[in-house]
Amino acid sequence: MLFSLMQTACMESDLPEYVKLDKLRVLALEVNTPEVDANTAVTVTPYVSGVGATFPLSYEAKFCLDPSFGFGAEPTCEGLAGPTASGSIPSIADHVGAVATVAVTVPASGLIYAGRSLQDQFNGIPYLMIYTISDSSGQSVRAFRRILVSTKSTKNTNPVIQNFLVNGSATTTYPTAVSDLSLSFSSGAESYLEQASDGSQVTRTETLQTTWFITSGEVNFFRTVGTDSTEYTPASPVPSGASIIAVTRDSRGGIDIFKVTAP
Amino acid sequence: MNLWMILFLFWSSFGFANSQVIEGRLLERGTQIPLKNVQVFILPHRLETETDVRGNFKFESVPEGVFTLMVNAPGYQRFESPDHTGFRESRNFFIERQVYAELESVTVGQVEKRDKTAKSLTQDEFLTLPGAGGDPVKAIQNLPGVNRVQGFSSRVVIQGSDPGDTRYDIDGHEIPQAFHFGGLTSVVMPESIERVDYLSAGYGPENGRAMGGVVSLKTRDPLVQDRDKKYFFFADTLKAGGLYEQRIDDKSRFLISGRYSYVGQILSRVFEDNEQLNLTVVPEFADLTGIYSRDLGEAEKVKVLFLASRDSLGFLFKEPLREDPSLRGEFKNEIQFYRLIPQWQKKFSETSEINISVGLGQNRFLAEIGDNYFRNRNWQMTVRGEWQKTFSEDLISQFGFDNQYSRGTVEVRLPNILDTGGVNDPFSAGELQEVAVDFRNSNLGLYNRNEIRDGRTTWVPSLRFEHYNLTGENFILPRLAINQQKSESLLLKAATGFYVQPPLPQEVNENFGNPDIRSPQALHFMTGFEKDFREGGPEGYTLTSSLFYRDFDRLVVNSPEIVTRNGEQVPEVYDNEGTGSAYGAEVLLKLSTQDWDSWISYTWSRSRRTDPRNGETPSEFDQTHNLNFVASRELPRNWKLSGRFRYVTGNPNTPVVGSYFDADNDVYLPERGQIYSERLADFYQLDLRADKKWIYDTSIWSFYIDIQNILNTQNAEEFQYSYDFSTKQKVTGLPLFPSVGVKGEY
Repeated sequence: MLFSLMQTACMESDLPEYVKLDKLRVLALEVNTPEVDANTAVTVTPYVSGVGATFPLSYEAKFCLDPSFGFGAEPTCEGLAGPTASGSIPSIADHVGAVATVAVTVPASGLIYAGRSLQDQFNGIPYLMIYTISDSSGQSVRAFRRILVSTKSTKNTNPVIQNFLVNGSATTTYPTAVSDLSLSFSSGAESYLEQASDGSQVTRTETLQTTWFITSGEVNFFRTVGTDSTEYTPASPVPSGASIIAVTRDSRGGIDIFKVTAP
Repeated sequence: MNLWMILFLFWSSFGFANSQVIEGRLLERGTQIPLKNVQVFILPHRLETETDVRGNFKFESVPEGVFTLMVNAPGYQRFESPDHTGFRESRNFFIERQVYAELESVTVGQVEKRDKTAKSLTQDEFLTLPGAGGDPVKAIQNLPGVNRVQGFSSRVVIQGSDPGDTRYDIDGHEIPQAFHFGGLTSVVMPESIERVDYLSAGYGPENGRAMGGVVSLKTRDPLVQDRDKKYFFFADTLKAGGLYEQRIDDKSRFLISGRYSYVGQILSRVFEDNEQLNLTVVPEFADLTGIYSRDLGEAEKVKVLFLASRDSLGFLFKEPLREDPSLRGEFKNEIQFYRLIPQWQKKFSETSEINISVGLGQNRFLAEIGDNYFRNRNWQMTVRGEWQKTFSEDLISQFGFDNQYSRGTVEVRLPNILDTGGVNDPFSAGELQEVAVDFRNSNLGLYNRNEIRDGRTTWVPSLRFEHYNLTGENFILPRLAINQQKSESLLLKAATGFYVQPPLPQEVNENFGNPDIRSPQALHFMTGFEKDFREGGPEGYTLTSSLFYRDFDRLVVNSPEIVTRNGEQVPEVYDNEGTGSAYGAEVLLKLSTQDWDSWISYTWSRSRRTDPRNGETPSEFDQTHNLNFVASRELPRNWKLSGRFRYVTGNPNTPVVGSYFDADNDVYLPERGQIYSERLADFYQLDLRADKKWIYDTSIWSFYIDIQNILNTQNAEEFQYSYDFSTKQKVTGLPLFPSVGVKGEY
């Protein structure tokens, strides 16, 4: 497997780049509270790129108990009970941004914890959201995320991006020269408890990982860890409305997003 | 005393005073092997004598004057040493062979096999087979019934079974891997191996715990020819090493060899400026082999084998992998094992003999990927023994045991990743499991084998008993082989039997698998023949052909079901609902002449698997046609040219028809189409090799150049997909790859 990884890393690739936004994509599904108690209401905000899409867009959201797709089932709520929501998205400012939110209340404990071990209840049972977005030209993207329902007293929260830094200085302006981009956080990597099968608990620390999406220019590292930087080379000239979007994840479902757009 | 008597005595004494003793020794040039029972002539006196077992010769009375020593032995170049007038002491004469095989061939002619289903390659064959790089385990991939595996794989797949169905052993004792990483070379010095056997459908009761087959390496005794010591060293594109063997006394001898790979130094230069990764631990492998052999009596012998192997590799990703962001940071892989295998055999009488051997050692396996890891450290003991009793000319029985014991620790922190149809989900999509266990495991095997001769037919009914403590199962496994020597040159054979193997430990682990899993099993049938057209000589054709059929049951397959276990709802992960079959026909046609050696091996086969989720599909190694053509030609002045052409049907491939975006992990999951419903393009490759030897009196120097894939065929091995699986590009295997090597033998 490691030889395959080396081979993959070294291959010259003609495949589309992950960070180039050139078609309909879901960049993130942000939950106001990524980890909750049973029977709690949450709000999900999809973050969508409509670059290259034909508006209006239509969406459908479905919720269900996780059908254990990690072990072979498809990530789908088809045939499973749960709330649904749907709607239309007429446009997105700068083609990339938050779209219509979806609200849901996670199941009560009697349902979501039924038959699950104390270890799983403590670490979190996933409540699945399937989000499908389509445009009128036939593009369609299916995305999913897990809303964790747990019994632990200290729940996960979303990281909070404090500042967007260009060459180490905080700014809200789109960079127009070759620059090092990074982020600072007012709420960064959290420590949390994880329970083992024997009941013992271990303290772990999140790793904040940021994906840098761009609509023009180049980045040398499209994913960075923590406060590490990536070098950005803008297109010349910088097109009006070009965007850089940083999506930071905490590896436990927590998300924050920052966007800067060229005038 | 009369005058005539006096004159006679006078002239006689004069003659005795003018003759001399000539002594010498004949040795083979380069190898210094003594030539025994060889005629030596002194001309023009027409004197003749014969060398003894040590190659020594002696002429008691050679007239004074100039003479020529001449030797004209079969298989050797005519030797003349002129213009001698006498030797003050014994001299060595080096006679050059007409053709030099690799060192000495320790088996001549056909290998005598107890198991007629086995296919074997001797050292002479695998050391010079083109495309095999002198490696015994890679060489058997040229034999019929062995499936082609992708590029840098280290697996051997037999007759459409799965890679995990093949067991590897050395001198009968299981080892955890046959190859160093990347499948570059096997874990033991090839020159310490006498032969490699590959056991396929219908193999005998001496082996078990493998539904596919067994790859068995047999080490040789040191100094099988009459030498006091010999050694060699070599260096090639990837590695260097050497071997030394020596007689200790009349009864004992030893051999020690070692190899080290510097491929890492090359790779570190390649990756020096790579934007994506740094090599933190230079890839390297090394192995050490030691053999000690002692004759305790005429019919008793002890042998001790020591084998150690180590692979290590590490690198640092400068950024998370674009296909899977959880793959980031430092990656490390180390595999080490060693075995000490003492062996004892004794022939008590013409009708009774016994052999017992024990394998002791340790395995260590470490893989670390960022925060995830798999660490396995365990002690192993394998015990094998057999008593053979000849009851009569028509009945020979063997009673034996073949047991394994292991204990150790396993620490795992890895996600459960779905791998279906050869398409893996990303690492980050799986549910993370963490477990640390101490384990003890034992697998017992007992067998009885009988050879019952009935005229030209030999019936071989046998029974094998196996117990696996991992699952608590017991199996009684009958097997039957029938061999009929239709004539001196024609052997008919057939075999059938039941085979099982224990599930993998992770498949029964309650965190990673299903503790209720049972052992998968198979039923084998084979029938075939061997025809030798050479009429007792070394030149001509041999033809081997057979049909095989395997039926698989209770195969372990992925399950998405939720079950109740100990009162809790848990994913089932695996079940035993898989079944399958593999069948086919094999042909091996060999031609040997004075200057040419060639063979064609061809396998036609079908391999299918069935499970409740996917229905019937081809198996991962369903390769309809597998053709190997190998040829070598001896040329004057110790040149040898050889080549290999391979053609194999493209492997089945599972199409990806869509994807889902995992918004938690920032990665896309593939949506698989019909499992293995497509095929990669057919594979073909031409390899060429040239060898040259320089023969000196006391040494042989060899040089080779081996060019794999000389046509630079861009064979597709798999596909690399874009981040959302919407587009793909093929990943090709080995490009044109030249390697060179030099070897000095003394």
